[in-house]
Amino acid sequence: MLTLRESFRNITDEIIWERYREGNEAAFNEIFLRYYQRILHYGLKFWPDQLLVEDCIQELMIRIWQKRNVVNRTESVKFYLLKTFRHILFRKLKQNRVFSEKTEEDRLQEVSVEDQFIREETHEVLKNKVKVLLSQLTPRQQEVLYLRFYQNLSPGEIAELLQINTQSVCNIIHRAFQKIRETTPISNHNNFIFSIIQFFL
Amino acid sequence: MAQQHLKLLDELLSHPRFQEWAVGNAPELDPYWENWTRHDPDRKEVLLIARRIALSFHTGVPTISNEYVYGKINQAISTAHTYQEDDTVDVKRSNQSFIFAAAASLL
Repeated sequence: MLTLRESFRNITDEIIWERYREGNEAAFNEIFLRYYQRILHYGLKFWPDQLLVEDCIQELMIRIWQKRNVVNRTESVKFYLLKTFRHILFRKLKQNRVFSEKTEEDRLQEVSVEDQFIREETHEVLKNKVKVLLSQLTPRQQEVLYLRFYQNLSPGEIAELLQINTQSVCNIIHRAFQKIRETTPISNHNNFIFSIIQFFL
Repeated sequence: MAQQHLKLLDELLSHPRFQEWAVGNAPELDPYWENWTRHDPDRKEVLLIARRIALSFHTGVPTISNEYVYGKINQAISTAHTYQEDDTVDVKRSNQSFIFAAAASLL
């Protein structure tokens, strides 16, 4: 199996996607060997339940394999996977009544990643540090920064994924940066940065 | 933080080589970044923020092996085939019903 992977070395995602569309199982394997971990990481930012997130990835893989003969070409395999995965995860969370009848925006305000983190985190000091972070960045700001600088999506792709316009994405990034720096006194700057690190641990 | 600093922060975080270095995968670039910030406190501060942000995103990545992922992929393919077989059986059943109905109508 690992030897088979060698044959995909230096081959772009998009070419591998074309082989997958021809029904090549090894190409399908390669796509998820490249992206499984990234998708899992993204999912866990929404909801810290690895079992549920991996269920959604399983559903994603089943769907992608089933659609191999009908799926279109894509300019960004990563974007296609993240978008489809996000859709599946949100549907699953709705089914589980996590989102109930609320809109996604409501959900982002109320069931944020930090909320989950705080709920599970018992260490009082760390809790306070994350609370500081909470007051600085909105869930949407965090998601946009994460998609931009960890998943390396373009502002246009983020806009499509979140169903907002590209300018809004740029504004969100801009405001997040400003908050990070401006609302934190210089002397507390390192502490603040430390809380960001703790939050994403 | 001034406008040009925000732009610099965005550029740094978007740069793949910066990201590699920020998460500790390219220590050979240490002298380059040291030089880049020398005599420029603003750059130094922006670099510090950018590095910590990059690092914060990088940490928390679940460690899973290729073998584990292979297992998950095989499970998905196997399930997809099962669904496909179920669909085929359903189609056959529905065709059979149609044939029976057609035959009955001829009687």
